[in-house]
Amino acid sequence: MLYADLLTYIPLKEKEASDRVLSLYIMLGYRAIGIVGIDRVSNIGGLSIIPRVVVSDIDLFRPSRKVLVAFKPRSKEHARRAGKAKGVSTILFDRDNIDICDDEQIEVMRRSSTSLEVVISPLLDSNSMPRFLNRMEKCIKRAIREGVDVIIASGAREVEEIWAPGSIRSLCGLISIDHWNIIYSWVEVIRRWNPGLKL
Amino acid sequence: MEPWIEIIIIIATSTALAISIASMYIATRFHRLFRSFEASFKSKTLRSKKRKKRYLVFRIYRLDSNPSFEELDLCIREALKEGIGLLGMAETGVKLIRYNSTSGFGVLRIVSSYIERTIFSISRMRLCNNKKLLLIPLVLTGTLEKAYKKIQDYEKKYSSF
Repeated sequence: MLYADLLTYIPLKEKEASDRVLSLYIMLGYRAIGIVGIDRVSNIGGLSIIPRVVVSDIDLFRPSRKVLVAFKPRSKEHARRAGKAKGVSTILFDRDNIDICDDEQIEVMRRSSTSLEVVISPLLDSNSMPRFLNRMEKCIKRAIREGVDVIIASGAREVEEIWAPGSIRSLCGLISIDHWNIIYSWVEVIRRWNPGLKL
Repeated sequence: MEPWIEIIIIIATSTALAISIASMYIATRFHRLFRSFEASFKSKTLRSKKRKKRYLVFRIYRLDSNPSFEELDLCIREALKEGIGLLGMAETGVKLIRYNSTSGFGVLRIVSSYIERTIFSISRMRLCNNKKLLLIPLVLTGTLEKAYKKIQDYEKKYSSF
């Protein structure tokens, strides 16, 4: 199966640490990862590495063909504006802004084919987990119902924050969504962003 | 009485008798059939509600040192206590069957009605006795033999990692 973790912040500057992270992703069965802080697409041992940028300021938000941009809205107004951009970027929701993901937002995203990206690192924190899981479930179910592509990303800043594909699958089962909706949607997102990229 | 009337009465009486015997036979037969259908439906319903044992093959990816069997068992229980609570734990009957601290592969017994909750709860575990680790769920099997066979396959496959 094709699995991807399209948003990680793990620095790959030191070779030893970089090799460890990449071999872990390959061992877990991932086919693609998105990393913040690199500037070009590469492929190591069958693992596609995709450059990512996370933008929080609406004035700086520009969908790009060079890097896959994720816009993390701080307010509803910004989320709606970003949702109207053409579908070569994703709208990112995490612990800080998951409440913004409502029916209206999903409707805006559906019209412009923008993808929904949910960072699941808050699920590792016992204090924020119950509330985040509840909001995340509602948000993802809405998006799937409306046909918006959904990406679940780890948002890992360290190696131990990486999630195994089996864990993501159990999460999908827990919130009663078909994991097939999640597993392959990232391929559509990448194809829309860079149609020529071989995965 | 006319003879033809007698004949008609005899025929009608015998027909009525035959019909009543046949209806009694059909009633008893269908009753048995209905009872057997009802019994099989009930047993199917009960069977589907019954919790079945499942065996989760997992791997511990160690970022520090190896946790021992006892340490991991305790950590899994703690993770489940946080994830599904004490009452949930009582229903699931989770048991760490096997764990090889050298290869990192193990088998955890869970029940069919709590698969996602159990796997998700233990997947959140990142620390065990101050040792950083990652629990990777690999496959779910119905028998322990299959689980052991899967471990052998995975040990060959992942020997380089």
